[in-house]
Amino acid sequence: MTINSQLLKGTLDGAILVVISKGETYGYEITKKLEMIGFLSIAAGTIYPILQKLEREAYIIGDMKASSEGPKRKYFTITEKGLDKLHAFFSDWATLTVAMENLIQEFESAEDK
Amino acid sequence: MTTIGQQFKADKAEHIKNKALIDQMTPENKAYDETFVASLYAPYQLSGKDSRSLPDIIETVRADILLAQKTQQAAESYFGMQAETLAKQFIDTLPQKTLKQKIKRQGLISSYLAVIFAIIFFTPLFGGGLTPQNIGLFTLTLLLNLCLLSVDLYVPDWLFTLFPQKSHKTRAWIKNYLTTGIAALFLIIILIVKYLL
Repeated sequence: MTINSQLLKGTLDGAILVVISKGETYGYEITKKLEMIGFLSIAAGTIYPILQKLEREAYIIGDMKASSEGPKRKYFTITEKGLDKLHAFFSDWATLTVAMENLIQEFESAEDK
Repeated sequence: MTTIGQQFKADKAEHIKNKALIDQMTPENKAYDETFVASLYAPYQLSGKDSRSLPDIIETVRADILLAQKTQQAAESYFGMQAETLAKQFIDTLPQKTLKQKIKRQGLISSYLAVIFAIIFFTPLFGGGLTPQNIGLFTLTLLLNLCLLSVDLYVPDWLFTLFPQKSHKTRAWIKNYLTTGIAALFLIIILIVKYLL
């Protein structure tokens, strides 16, 4: 099932940071991991510019290195600033989830009546 | 510091490496790559943007096109968008050039112009000399340089505020016409002062 792209917009930066926080990785691998987890509607083309933005804002560091297949590509690692952002994202997400669950429960109980 | 020879060798090695990467692509992916690179380097799109990271972006995209190709996935299907759209997304996230970078580039052009005008007005080679008229004309050319530097530094932002709905291309055209207009005006003044007064 695909996820509404508008809904994804605000969470994609956080999701990408989570993947990078697990260890050094690159665009293709991040895209495939996100796909595997369930982010099916994300075009890889939207992930690369986000990586560029996160690097510019110093949340991640990009390093051009030769890949196992030969050509060089940019490998990313998370920074201290990125980890701080990630913790802030988790906290925001928890608050949002609780609020959303309350709202859904309220909606469902109203429907049951 | 890199010498011109070293830079040339590095550029040549880069070209060979890039060609080897492109040669591995399917015709469909080659066309995607070609359009992507052309769209990234379209000069009007990069106006005012810091383009130093473009070679890394291109190399990374190429490496991942090849990786997707191994799983029989075409570049357009992998990226989920047309090459032009992908290029635009990258350009949108590029940082603006800093004031220092802009001054460095335009300052170099201004310095070259100042040297050329100094040779024209002050050396006997071109019939010049240290006369009050030539000193005045040289001052005029320095003023021209200053105007062109200001156009390059401030007009793009000013145009963006004034016409946010216009495309990069249209704004670049307006800036170029303004630059040409100022240069032509100064040239006419210089020619009038030099030959008619």
